[in-house]
Amino acid sequence: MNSRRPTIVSLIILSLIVVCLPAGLLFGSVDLSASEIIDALCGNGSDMTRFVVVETRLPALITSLLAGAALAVAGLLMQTCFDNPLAGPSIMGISSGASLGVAVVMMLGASYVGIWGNFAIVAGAFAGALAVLLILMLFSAVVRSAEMLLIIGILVGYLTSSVISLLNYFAPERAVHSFVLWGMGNFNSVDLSVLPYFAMLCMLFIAMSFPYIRSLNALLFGVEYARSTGINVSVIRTGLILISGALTATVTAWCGPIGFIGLVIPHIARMALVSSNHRTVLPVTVLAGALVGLLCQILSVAPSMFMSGSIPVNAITPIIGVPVIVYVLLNRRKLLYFN
Amino acid sequence: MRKTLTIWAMLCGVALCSCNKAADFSYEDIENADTLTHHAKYLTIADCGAGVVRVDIANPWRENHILASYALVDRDSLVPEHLAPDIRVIRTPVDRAAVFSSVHTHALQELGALPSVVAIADREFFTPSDTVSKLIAQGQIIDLGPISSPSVELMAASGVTTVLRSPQGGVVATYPGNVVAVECADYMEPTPIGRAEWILLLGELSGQRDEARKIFEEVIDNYSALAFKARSAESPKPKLLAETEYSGVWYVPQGGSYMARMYADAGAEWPWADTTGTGSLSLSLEEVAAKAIDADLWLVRSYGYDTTTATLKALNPRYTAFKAWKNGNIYSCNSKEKNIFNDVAFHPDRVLAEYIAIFHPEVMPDYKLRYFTLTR
Repeated sequence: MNSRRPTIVSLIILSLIVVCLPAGLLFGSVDLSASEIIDALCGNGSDMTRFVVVETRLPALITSLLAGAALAVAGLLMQTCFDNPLAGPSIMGISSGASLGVAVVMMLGASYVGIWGNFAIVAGAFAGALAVLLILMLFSAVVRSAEMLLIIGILVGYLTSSVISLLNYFAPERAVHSFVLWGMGNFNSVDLSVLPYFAMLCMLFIAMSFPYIRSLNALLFGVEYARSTGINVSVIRTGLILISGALTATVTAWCGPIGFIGLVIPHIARMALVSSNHRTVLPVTVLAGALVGLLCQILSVAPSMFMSGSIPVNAITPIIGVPVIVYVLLNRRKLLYFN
Repeated sequence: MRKTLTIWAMLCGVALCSCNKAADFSYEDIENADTLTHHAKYLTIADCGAGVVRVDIANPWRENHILASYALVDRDSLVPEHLAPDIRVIRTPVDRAAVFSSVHTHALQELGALPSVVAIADREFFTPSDTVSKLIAQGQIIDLGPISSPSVELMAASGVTTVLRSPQGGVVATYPGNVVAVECADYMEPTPIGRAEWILLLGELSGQRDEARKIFEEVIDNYSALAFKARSAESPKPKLLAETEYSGVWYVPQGGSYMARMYADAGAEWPWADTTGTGSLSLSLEEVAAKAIDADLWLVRSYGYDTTTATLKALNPRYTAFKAWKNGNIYSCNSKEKNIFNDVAFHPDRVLAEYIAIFHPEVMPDYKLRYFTLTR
């Protein structure tokens, strides 16, 4: 591998982020000039421009960067942990668990949303995600095979989906509508007062994944090889599931279940680096996830310059995700990092 | 609409000519039939005589198309023969109805026709104090389940002959057997008076034509007098913001909707008055802020809980940036406890009075708010 490649790839992604950030501030349903945006960022301008730039656009852009990075890391950990290129944050049922928690809050306790506001939804999502995570932890202590654990995760996902269907069936139309909107994904729900906590959690869990680089590299060569290097595979697997679960739960709680980013970004990082070495893949995954999250946010608000309202994030992510997954599936044998 | 009426008239005429009681019914008679509706855009009721009333409901989602047509035939009259297959016959007064909206059960109750209601759907939308809830508890009315998929078995078991429902997106409901669905598209009417006129349809269905007419005429008189009062207000028109963000989307009434019309009639400046649709706009917080961050007043409706400044802030701390918040000019209404949803349909004069009292209190000095409270 070209030793300068990771640096070049990282610099390209960073420069794209630097270019996209101002574009993200510029694009939106309200037509604002660059000077108005600069004024607003400096604390000048009208109440309206300050509100639009500082209170809505800026937090949404930072949220999209953090959420994209968090989901991408969660996906990378899952794919290596389960030795499966199609594993992602949603595959273990964690985002389904979060969805179930939100569905319970919205459909059975709509009045709690009114009294406790967004906190009720975030708490519901966290509770649901952590409940599924706990179930997976219990099984991981008993089940030794990664494939079996993956199947259990998928089954838990089906189970939660079935309960959600049941709740949807009996819930009033308004609650169902609200839940459907939440499920479409949204980076605008994190405001400035919540952003520090969201950022802290995302960065903490991302940072917690870095000490696992050596173990992740060992797992690439199989469980037996990892064991032969002195790694306690079940402990590492539990740690990886906990971190990826915490990342998924954090993002899902505030932004809704965002699809594809966690599945696709690790592949983009590996393809760009032509390597599976987590020492380089993990940081590039963080950067690429942040960039794609940012692009999704810009694309979701871009149509609002021509029509009212923005389009949901989950309507954008498959546009980026599906071609990459199809390419990976068709070229699986040729791609160096699977060999 | 006129073309449809003509076709209907011809069909009805042919059909009626072939039956005993209406044998001398002619095409000209139907052309000159007494049209009972004058304000509603999507409802036409015409008295064809001989105990037959024609009802056409225009499709609000498809210009110049009919959503549903009905022949309301008095129980003592003969049903016209050879009616077109898309014209549904309803025997009046309806004696076993399923009514899917509390808006319509309330109107039927006012007409004294609640005993004809044997079933409802979505029970949770009926408050415990509602007469319908009490009748459900007594077993006199049954709950058919969710509106989207009511129990057909329960419908058949309770002998329902007619379903009153609110159509969604122009889809006409079909139910098994001889159950006729009446598509109450009143909520799509662009004017409050147009919507209120739909009580005449409920009057025809329940055999309470005169009572319905009386209620409607009272509404027109009151509404006109109140709107005139609001126009004479000397205080400046307050800029108005309504509703809240809802899972990332803020729905606001479009300029052509009856809600926007009511705000204008009550003497408020509605920031989206220049839009033309009759439904709602789905906006982002940014778009709402761009037009209404400086709104003087904010009307918030919740469902099932009382709104306070703390609950609003918990929903979204960014609301505190709005001028109405800073000035403490937020009025809220728990629409599950108050009767606003039901009244706005068939008694818009009551809601208009409330709006005028909020927007121009000097015009209504003795008025006591019945739906909204100043949010603390």
